[in-house]
Amino acid sequence: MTTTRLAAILAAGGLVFVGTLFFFESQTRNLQAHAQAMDELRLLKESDATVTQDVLRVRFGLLSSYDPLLRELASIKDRQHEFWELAAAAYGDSRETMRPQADSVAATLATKAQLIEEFKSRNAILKNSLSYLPVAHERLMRLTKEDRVLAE
Amino acid sequence: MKSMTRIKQILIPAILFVVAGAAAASGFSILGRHMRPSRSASLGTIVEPDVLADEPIHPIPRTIELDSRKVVLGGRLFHDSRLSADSTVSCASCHNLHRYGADNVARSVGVGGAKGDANTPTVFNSGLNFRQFWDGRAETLEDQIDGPIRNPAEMGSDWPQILNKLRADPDYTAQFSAIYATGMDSRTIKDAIATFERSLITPDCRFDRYLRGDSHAITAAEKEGYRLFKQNGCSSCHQGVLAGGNMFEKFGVVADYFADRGRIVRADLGRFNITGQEDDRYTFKVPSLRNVARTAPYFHDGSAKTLKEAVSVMAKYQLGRQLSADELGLIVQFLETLTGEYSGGDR
Repeated sequence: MTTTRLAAILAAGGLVFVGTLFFFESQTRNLQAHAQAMDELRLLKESDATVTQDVLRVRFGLLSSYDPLLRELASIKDRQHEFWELAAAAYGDSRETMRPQADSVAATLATKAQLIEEFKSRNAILKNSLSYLPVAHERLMRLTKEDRVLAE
Repeated sequence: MKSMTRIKQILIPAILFVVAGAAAASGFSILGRHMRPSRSASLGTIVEPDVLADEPIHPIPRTIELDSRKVVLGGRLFHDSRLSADSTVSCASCHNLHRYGADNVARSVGVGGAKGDANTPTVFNSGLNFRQFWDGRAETLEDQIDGPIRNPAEMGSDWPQILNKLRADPDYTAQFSAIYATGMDSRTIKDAIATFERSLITPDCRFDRYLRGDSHAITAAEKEGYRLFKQNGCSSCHQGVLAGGNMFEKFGVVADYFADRGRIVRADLGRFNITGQEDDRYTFKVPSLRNVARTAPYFHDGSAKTLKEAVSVMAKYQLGRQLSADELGLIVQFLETLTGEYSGGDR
């Protein structure tokens, strides 16, 4: 009788253990994926802020090339993709409820990237004009001087 | 009654123990997320700490981490003419690795003797370009591959045709199966070729050595050429690791290049062909100046036969300047210092 009871207790204990393990494991997966998705969202915001900073740094000549800006823009794309993948793991089918917001963010970021491309092209023209201004001034002064000498 | 109490005495602590154990076992993975490395930390840093970081041009990294098995497989595919419809043209036909990744003709010859629309850009360092093609229509090298494969004036092929031919080769199928879980398909072929192309970097040119602190790596005349290059505003577009390849610009900013050249064709419209926006008419990706002295002829139309001519055209149409012969010569001397060495074994 004692042996039967003990076996029953052990079996019940085993079932509780396995059930609990499964329960926590499923909760953990969701929690972990949720936390990672939130991490990714935070990093996405960080990258977006860095892009804005880089544009200003380029504008004021504090960044000598567009490469860092491009790397950050590429990382924004990666993070959007990564977030969407993690959201599938964290929220399953209910991820779709976020689709309008995700699409809206993606469209805004794409517009921003497009505007940055236009800014780069126009800023390049401004920069090459500014860098040439002292040379043009010097040449103009030299020509004026030569004209004066010839006139005399 | 007594036995029930005993069972409870055993069962309750046992349940509590297993619940705590299970929770602890799972809990580690929750805590583990804080240990997850930030992806931003893994972003490649192109500017090295020991270089002249304020300069607009930065050195090409000496190494790029790639899967060597994919590089080998991609190199084989890159040279395989079975990728074209009539099995006569490979990627290497136009991107000749003995000619600095280009073919030194204005427009390349594809299947059946057809001529391409635009000058073939070098494949060297192309993995560092922000977009691919003159009009930037492909964002990645993988996307780019579809272009020449399908273009009737280049390889004139398609994926079912290519897969039929390559799957008949047991060496290929074995190689693909060893690297990719899905074996050979269009995606894995593109991945292997793109990986090989990313390996085609030319680091350590003389100018890179100068940027890394070797002040004797370039001559006084070349330094003067570099000063003129910056002073005249060339570096506004030709900057970054590739000295270009990271932005779009209109060809003919201050004068109408196409009106002067005449006979405008579709390829001259550049990015306009992709976006349909008027602002993008005659706009192209600014090409990299890496190895530029070895990749004549120049521009999307291959119209400039020499580097001196190309610099002169750029000065006139992009900067509104006429450079003296001395200035042109010095800038060309500087550009020659951008010639690097491809160290891959597949030349």
